[in-house]
Amino acid sequence: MKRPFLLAGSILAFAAAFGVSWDAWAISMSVSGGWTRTIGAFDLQGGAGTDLNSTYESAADAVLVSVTDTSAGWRVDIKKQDSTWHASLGLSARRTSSGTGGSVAGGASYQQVTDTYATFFTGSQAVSDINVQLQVSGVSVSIPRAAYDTTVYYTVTEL
Amino acid sequence: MSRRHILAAVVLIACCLPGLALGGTTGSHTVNITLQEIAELDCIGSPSTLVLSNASTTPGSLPPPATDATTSLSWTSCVASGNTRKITVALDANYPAGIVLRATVAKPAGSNGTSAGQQTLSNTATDMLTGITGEACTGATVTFEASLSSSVAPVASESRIVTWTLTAEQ
Repeated sequence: MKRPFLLAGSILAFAAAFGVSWDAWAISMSVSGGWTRTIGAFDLQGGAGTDLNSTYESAADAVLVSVTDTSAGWRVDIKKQDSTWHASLGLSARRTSSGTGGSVAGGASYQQVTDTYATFFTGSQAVSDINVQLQVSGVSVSIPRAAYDTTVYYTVTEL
Repeated sequence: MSRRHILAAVVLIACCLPGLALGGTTGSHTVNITLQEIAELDCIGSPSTLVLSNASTTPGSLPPPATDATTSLSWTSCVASGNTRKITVALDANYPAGIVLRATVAKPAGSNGTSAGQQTLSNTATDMLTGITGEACTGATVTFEASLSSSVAPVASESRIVTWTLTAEQ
C-alpha cells in the first residue's frame, strides 16, 4: 500500500515544482472579452467646430467574469495597467448582470478603474458569466491622435 | 501497480486538492481606444458683392477698398503629437490685373494657431492660419477686402470661388 502514497506524493511534488500554489487549487476565476473602440470624425458632437463626444461605452456584455471552485464568499478587485494611455482619459467599469449560480452584489454603478486594486463587487459561491461594461471618458480632439491601450486586471479573493 | 493502487492514489490526490481547478485568481483583458486623425472645416456665410465705385472716389485717386466680414470659419482638428495643421485659401482663378482681393482670418478663442494677417488671394494656396493643433474652434471671422491697384476698365462683375482648406503643415 505504499505505492499509492508514493504516486500521490510524486504528483503533488510535480505540482509544487511547477509553481502551483495551494491557493490556486481553491477559488479561481476566468475573464474573457475586452473592448476595442475607434473614435473619429463620425463621433463629433456636431460637425466642424465641435469637439468629440467625451464618453463612450462598450457593449453591456463586453467582458465576462466567472468565479469558480468556491462555496464561500469572495471579492473581486479591479485595476488597470497602462501600456499607452493618456492622462486625460478615464476608464470606468460596472457590472451589468449577476451571472448564473451563486449571488453577486455591488459594482452596478460605474466606478473609476485606477492603477491600484479597488473592490469591484462581491459574491458567494460559484458564479459564471457576470457581464461587465466599460466606459472611457475625457475624450477630446485635444488628445493627440494615437492608439491608447491598457490592460484591466481582476483578482478574486475568498473571504 | 494494480488498478486498486492507482485508484487509491487518485482518491488521495482528490482529497488533498479539493476542486482540482487549475484556474488562477487573476484574469485580465485589454482595452484599446484608437483616436483617429480629424480634419473638418466649414465655411459659414458668403460675402456680399464687393463694389468698387467711383461714387466716393477723390478725383485723381483710385476708388476706396470695399470690405465684407460676414463669412466665418469653423474647424475641428485632431493630430498626432508634434504635428500641426494650417488653413489655406485659394481662388479658382486670378482676377484681372488691377483687381486685388485680400482676406484676413481672425484667430478665434481656443485656437493655438497663428493668423498670417491680411493676405492677397490668388489661384495658389496661401497660408492664412498656421500652427493649428488638436482643437475645435468656431467663429473665425474672415474679412475680405477688394481694391484696385491700378486703373482698370469698368467690369460688370468678376466672381471667383474661394476655397478654404485645413491641411497638414509641412
